[in-house]
Amino acid sequence: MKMRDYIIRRLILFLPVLLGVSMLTFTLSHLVGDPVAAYVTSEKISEERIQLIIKAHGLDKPIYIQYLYYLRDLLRGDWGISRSDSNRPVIESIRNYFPATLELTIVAMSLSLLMGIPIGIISATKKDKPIDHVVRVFALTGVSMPVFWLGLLLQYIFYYQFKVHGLPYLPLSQRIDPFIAIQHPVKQVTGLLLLDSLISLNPYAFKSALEHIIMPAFCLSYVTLALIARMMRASMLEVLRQDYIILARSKGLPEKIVIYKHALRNAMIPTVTVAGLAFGGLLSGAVLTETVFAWPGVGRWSTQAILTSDIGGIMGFTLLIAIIYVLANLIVDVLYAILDPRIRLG
Amino acid sequence: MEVKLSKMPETLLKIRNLKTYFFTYAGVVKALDGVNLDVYKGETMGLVGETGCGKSITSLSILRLIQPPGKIIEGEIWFKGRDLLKLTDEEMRKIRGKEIAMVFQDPATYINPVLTIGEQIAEVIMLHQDLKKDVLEMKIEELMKKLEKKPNEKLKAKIEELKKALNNPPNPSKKEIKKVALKKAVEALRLVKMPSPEKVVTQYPHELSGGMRQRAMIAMALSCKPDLLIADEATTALDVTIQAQILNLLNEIKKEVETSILMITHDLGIVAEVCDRVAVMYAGLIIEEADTFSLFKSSLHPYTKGLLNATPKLYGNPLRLKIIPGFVPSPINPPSGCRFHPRCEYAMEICRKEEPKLIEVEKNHFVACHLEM
Amino acid sequence: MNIRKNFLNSLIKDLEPQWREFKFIIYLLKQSPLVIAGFIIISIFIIAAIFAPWIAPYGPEERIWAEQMQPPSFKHLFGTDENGGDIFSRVIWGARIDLSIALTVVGSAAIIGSVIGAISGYMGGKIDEALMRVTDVFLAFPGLILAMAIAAALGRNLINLTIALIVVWWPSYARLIRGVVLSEREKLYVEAAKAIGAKNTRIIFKHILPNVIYPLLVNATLDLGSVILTAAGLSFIGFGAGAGIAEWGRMISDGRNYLFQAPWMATFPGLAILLSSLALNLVGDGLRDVLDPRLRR
Repeated sequence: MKMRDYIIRRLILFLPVLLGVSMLTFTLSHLVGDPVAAYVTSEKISEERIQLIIKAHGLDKPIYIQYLYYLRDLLRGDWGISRSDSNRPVIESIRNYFPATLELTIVAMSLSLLMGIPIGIISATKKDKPIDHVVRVFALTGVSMPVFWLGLLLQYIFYYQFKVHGLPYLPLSQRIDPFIAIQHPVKQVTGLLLLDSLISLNPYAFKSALEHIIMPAFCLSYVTLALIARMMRASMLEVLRQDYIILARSKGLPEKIVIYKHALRNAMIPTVTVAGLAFGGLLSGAVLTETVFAWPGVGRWSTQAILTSDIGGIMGFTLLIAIIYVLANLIVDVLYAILDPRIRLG
Repeated sequence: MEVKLSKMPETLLKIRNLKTYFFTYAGVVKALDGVNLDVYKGETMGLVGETGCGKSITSLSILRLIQPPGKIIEGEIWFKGRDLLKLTDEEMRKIRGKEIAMVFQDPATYINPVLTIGEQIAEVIMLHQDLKKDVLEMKIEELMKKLEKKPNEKLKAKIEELKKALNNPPNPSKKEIKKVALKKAVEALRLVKMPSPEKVVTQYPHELSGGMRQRAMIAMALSCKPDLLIADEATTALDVTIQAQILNLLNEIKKEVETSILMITHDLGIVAEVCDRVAVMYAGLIIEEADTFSLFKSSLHPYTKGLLNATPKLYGNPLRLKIIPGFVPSPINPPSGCRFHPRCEYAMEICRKEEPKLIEVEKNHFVACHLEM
Repeated sequence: MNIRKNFLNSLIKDLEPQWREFKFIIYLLKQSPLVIAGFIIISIFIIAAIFAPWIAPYGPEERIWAEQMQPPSFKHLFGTDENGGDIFSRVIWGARIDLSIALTVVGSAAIIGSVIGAISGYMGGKIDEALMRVTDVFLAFPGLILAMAIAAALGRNLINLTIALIVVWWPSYARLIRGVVLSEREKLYVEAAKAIGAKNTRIIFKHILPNVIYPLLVNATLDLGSVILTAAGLSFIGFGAGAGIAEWGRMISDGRNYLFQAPWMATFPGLAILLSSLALNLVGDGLRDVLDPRLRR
């Protein structure tokens, strides 16, 4: 019961932020150029039509009324036209490209968590031993790494060098081998290729999708992995110094239980916060990674949009990212409450 | 080695020449430098001393909870016929929480904030007790309740079957074990006179008051009915009224649970109130050991006398409190001979040269001081 | 004249313990080999940036058509690019651009953010609320993406990139300074100081400022690394340095086209980014370790 109220409370608090975000994108659209461009395709159209569009979106009214029209359009699902994406409505572009980015981000985040947390724990429990030093150096390079450069490096090694030397190599770009996509088509259920190919019991497609996603996902996960490992180590060390750990040991509990039951749950709390904050980094990294690997996601779409001054696309993308980021923060808050009863009940 | 005459009551814990050192960058901290201590069965033994004299280290050493850079380098700790320092880690773990249990100073920091009270008590029970029979008994009880409401031949037969299995109970599921353990946790809370124990079992530490938390910690310690309970400054963090309640509680359940208590404190008032015997510690060594009455009435060591004199009294006419001059010695570089000699008004030549041994000067009254030799 | 002199003297005397502490911190920092390593590395970069005209063998846009796409050799330490430009020199010239962007961004963001944060914290009330809502909106965006949007709005060149990055980075400083000001303002010793008649300036200099400087320094050092990464990333996708400019991110983007034939074109600028960012992180981490437990006074 308390949990539901907590979630609702947090959701309500985010509304003003979302409102503010919409104001920001609205302002930007006016700075970038003529806001009409967001709703118009790149084809030549008559002056009449332009006037109709201006009237329909209230662009001839004073600025604060314009903002209200803008909000109305947003809520109605009319986010404008993306000229860089063959003049498709922005909403449609998002629907096309978002699953790809979502899949990439989920796989990357999973990699970061699945590898980062255990690495951090090991590093903490074996403090100052060689493995600890290795992990610390790795973590340091992680936060200093230019993601796009790492992607190029991976491509050079795992595609080019492997190919040249006759080893099985990883593909350079795209989500799936186009031949396999034709021969063993995948049923579009969620838009997440890995999931969909499993659902349609399609091993060929699954293998191909896996091969294609590994490099970009690893590349994207690298920084977050390092951050999580670092935070996990630091908070684990902090927790293991606490008094309640002494009590746990005095009860005769085996060391494994002391670490995984008593220490870990406490140590996860700051780590979850870091993971949530790192999510923003993942989104930024997705833009760069998608560019390097020609991954058909919203990141790459946004780059194209900005480079071609596709106002509709820019606005749509910015708003989308802000919403996702806000939601991610909300999820982190909820996780926080699950892990720490003091937050829930306090 | 000290010379002790034979005792009448049974000895539960016998510490001989315990040395625990901490190897730090600043030097070797000789926290315990040859501690000798006895705890008899059924008594409340006090361990008094100033902050930093090594009281807590003694309790941690008994349970072998000393972490690096600390190390127990010498000594014997005899408990129920075994030297604890010679046991393997596995064997030691079986003793912790089950035969020797500890209650710590600050319940706010010593209880895990993210687990419920019930969880933290139940885990001790599940760890040390074989609950197979209890699970079966619980099942039988539940079925009997059902029987009362709706008599049924099938049920009766099932109950008889279960009752027969009591001699060789089957392995229960984890869920059932947890359920039984939580029930026992409630009983443990009832033992420590916790109000609404069924509710507390589901609560988190921050939802309880300081006194309740301390009771919870005591419940954790006593849940498996240990032979020895070490209370390390267990009431220091509580305010005086709660302190009195907790001390009373410990006294009462001592008999019920058949446990002996090692009460570690810096408060002479507590010693006078609850301890049968008491040992005084100074700079990592025991310098006097006697029954409480004798210690207060006729203390022999100058340090003990100094401590008692320094206590503010309602009677008499002191303009100033009589203090013990000087400072507590550095554990890295303790004074030669008797550690107290730089501050002792009766110090003699020999005090500087030779460390006095703990000897029985009067019946059951031990002192480590050259004055008595 | 005398009053001024007295005030200055007493101020210097007041700050004496802070000065001693500063010297102690430097001493502690010297103890960590990683911090020293980081400091040396970043100093090398800074020196390279400042003395580029004297150190770099070739100019930033110097092209030698006869020597295109050559692998690393003694003549061209890092090889040449598709126009015959010497990569080694261009990396050194690139240090000028990237490091100065980083310094400008962090410096400006820190100043702007601190001022806003200090006002917000000290004034409290409605002003505080409003300013915090504003920072919330900015912080609702991941940095790179917001910078992209702003750079798009302003135009794609290095100056606008710098401005965009300043806009992205100032809110975190505002938050930081506001937090410190809030907690220091409430501290009892400020009240006590006021009670014995200490003037506001003294309070600010002696009490609030030291507590602000150290976390500010830690964040600024770490941010320098992040800004280098972000600026290079943005240039890579085309939002900063224009074609042909010797900026690390841009060089990687150019090198990408020849990744398999001439991998050195993208490798060395990337290494420069990695090393400079790493060095700053080492120093920043070291600073944080030294200052953190001490901050818990």
